[in-house]
Amino acid sequence: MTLKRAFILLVLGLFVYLGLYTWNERTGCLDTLAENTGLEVIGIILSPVDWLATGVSDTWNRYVDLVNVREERDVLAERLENATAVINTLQEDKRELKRLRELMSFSPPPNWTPIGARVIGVRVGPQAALNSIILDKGFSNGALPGTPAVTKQGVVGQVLRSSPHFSTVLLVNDPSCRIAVVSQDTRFPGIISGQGAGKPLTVYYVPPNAQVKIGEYLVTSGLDGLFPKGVPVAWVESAQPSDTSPFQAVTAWPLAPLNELEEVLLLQPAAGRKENPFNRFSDELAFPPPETPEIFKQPVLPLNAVPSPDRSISSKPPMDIQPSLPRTVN
Amino acid sequence: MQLTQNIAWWVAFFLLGILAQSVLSGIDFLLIGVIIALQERRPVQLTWVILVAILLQEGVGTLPFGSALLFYTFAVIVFYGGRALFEAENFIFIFLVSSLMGLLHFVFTFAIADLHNLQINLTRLGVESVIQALMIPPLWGLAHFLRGKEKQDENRA
Repeated sequence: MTLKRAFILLVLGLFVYLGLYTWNERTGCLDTLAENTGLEVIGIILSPVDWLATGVSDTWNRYVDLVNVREERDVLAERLENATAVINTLQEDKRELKRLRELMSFSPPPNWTPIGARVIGVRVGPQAALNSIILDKGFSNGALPGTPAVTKQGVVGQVLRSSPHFSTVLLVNDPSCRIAVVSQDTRFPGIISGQGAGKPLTVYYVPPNAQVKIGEYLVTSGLDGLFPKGVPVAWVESAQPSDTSPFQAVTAWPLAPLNELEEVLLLQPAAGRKENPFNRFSDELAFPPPETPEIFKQPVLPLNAVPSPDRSISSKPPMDIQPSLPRTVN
Repeated sequence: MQLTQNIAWWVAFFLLGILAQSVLSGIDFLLIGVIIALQERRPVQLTWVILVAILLQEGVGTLPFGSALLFYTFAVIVFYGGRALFEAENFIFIFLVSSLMGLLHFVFTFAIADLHNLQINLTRLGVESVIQALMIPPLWGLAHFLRGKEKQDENRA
């Protein structure tokens, strides 16, 4: 092959590539094709491997590795006692809230249905440059792009891409993931974003006069139109005035154990979404307004802290305070 | 090599490649198959191996479509360019190809992410690119040996 011919081929190839790239940017056809074939095939391959690994791990944990079980049982029994006491206290608050809502003619928020999904892979392949996990639920199971993914502890991320039976979730600790949050106690708003695995999250646009408490929980505000309101996301680690910005520099750690995820819940409005899964843009626009899901309407249970700890002076997170959730519904 | 044996070899290769990718995040194990297909100079086989690799990598990835297509296209260009200077099955040639592909993995991933205003961890990407460059030669040697062994068994039969 002469040099001239090689050059012509290279230029032609470049034009073909740019043509394909631009066409895909406009239509998303190649993305859809890759999702429906590549992601589906890899999901089919990884599912039995994950099932086998989980089976072996469960067998070991349940029947072989029984060390510390007695000690753990004692701790759990103590926590259960504390939790029962707190539930009794909060039941009264719940009834009061219901009465007040009825009094103010608030229509109760529609339920969000949790769909259980198993994690079958973490950042598979060289193109998985963003922090992500692969789930065994796809758009035929309701895992459309934009669907919130949570655990009992808090937000995990949101569905980025989906094939018929598998989907990829962008984790909350990725810099490309942004979620509108509000602090649980002092109610300051912000946008939370990741800085990468093993690093704290950053909360942007926190007003300089906001009284940020260390250890305070950040929950979704629902203003981003994707997440329901009130889902725990992170706890505040530090807050200080920024030298370069009019806003405060706030860092927080995610509540969900992002490195140890095995199952997650995908939150769907109870009415269901009937959009065309091939059209992600109309899909996002058609997402109904955020509401508090039923599973997060339960009272927050401080499991070993009665009364609740003073989080304004604590430098460590009250990790035992978690929202209660029913068991995963599939 | 018979058609059924060939298909079985490639199915086994892709299965193992995907499993290896699920264990070691960010590394492209399917590139070894593309290099082997390039060395065997069978256009039909090369076409579908590259096509399957592109669909798998793009489908499971989190970047917009384009970087895997670019990566494997340049793998072909680098291979044919280098073959003019070296013997295609020479270990030094494979080492040079893998080094260049490690570099291109960094460049293309960064370029596509930057084009779409996505922030990625450059340190991690750099480490993965180095691992990619270092892992290809020994794994190619293993795959090449197994592929050659299967051919020899077939000839003996």
